[in-house]
Amino acid sequence: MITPLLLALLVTQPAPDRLPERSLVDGWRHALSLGWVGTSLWSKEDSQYTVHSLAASYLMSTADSGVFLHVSFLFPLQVRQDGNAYAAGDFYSPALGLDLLVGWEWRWELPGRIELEAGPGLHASLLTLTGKANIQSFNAAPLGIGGEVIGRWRPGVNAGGAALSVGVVVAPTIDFWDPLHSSQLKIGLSLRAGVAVGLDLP
Amino acid sequence: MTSATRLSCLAVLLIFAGCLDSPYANFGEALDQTVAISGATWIASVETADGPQTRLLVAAGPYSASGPVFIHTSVIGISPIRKLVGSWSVTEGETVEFTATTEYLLANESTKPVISRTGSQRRSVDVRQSVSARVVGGRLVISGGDGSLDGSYQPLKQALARLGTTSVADLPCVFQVYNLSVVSSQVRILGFNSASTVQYRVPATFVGEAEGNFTISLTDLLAPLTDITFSTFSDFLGMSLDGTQWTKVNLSGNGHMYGSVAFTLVPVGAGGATLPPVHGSVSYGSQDGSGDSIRLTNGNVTGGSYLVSVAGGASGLVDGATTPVPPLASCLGI
Repeated sequence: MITPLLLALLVTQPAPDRLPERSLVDGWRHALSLGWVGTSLWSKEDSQYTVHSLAASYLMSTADSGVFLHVSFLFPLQVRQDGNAYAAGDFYSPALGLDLLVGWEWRWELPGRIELEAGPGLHASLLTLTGKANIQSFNAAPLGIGGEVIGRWRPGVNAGGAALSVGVVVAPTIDFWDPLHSSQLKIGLSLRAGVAVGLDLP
Repeated sequence: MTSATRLSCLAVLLIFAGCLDSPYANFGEALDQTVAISGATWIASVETADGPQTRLLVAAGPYSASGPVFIHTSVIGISPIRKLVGSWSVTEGETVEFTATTEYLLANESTKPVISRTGSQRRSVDVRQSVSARVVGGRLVISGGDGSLDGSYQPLKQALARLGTTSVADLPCVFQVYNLSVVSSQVRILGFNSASTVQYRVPATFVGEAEGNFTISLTDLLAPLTDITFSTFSDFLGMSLDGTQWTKVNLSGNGHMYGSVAFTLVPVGAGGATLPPVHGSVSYGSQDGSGDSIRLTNGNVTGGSYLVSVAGGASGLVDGATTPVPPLASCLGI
């Protein structure tokens, strides 16, 4: 019974010229990014701790309006406290960090094959600087909120059905709580800026 | 469970526990900033609202290698412990000004979970105390300021001459004297008595304020084993330690201690005559925690006994969970 009905529908339905076109800003985005991240924490005792790190990141987002995720591995290079600066490698080994930003993004198409993506998210970070002999270790795990702005440009190179893109990423955050120092953090700010190379799936 | 999985579990636990509360460490700061000085040690006992407080003052002379430096240590039982380090000068007559620039503090946090403790802390201070200091009958009598330095101090080595060592009843006294050096070391171990001791996965060595040193190291984050090894360690001339104490606990601070630390006390007679040194040891128990090993609950000693032995003298157990009797002031006549 159903088969003749479907057949009748197919016959009577006019064939579309082409399938409905998906938005050019839709689809998955995967990218690798290299950049700098500066993290500043202010303690309740009014001490300012700043860590400048190299950030190697994986950036992902799902649709023209969807979830985004940034996973960054941090390699602290310089630390500063209250006006004093130290080369991280002189005092700490290893000095590492992990930074997560997950949230919701929207995309807009701009002229010149440029795509803009931005959105707010939740932020979690972990910095662990293990002191060398006779040096105090430094650990922090600031949690808060943040956001991302990514600009992508497609030079027109395709790879396996995906478009290659290059771009820049900026991700500011503001942190309010550190579970490793629960009553010590007054506020934390960080800014990540980098370049990205990725694949834009349709 | 693999090590990576266990570490991941620990990280999640720590994050969701949300109650670690140690201050941020200063960047590039040395763990050990001990000021080693050569000076006589004076000891006093003062009644406070929280109980009898033992006070130890080490002061180097103005022409010593370190200059006119002082270190003042005060302790009630095993905590709180406070240590002030700075310089002193005679301003006029019997008036002496003590200017402390560094303060060490180990608060009594026995009622808090280990994970919520701040442990031993060090901070820069500018504490000036102008006090009256007089020598009366061989005692150094200090009064004035905020009262925290007050006391009728005796030379430590002379006080040690009054320490009994031959009777089992003397052993609680011997243990308390021995423990002065131990607690003086602990207050300088940043983060001691808190979760911050994970810092010592990289071993750290602290020099003695008088001589020698001690090293602390920690292995196994999920079942921490802390090793503190004393090597001719002395914060107070006349008392030194050699040996290792181990503390094996779980993440809640439950476990036991073991190891043995030898001590040497060097008393002098009233006229300054050197008396035979007192050698002995304090044993914390066996590696497997059996028998009378010191037992810890939430990081506090809640059972077991210290085996105190004096060479050529008494040997016996001193209960770990109760406050030793008689008090130190009676033991040393201070």
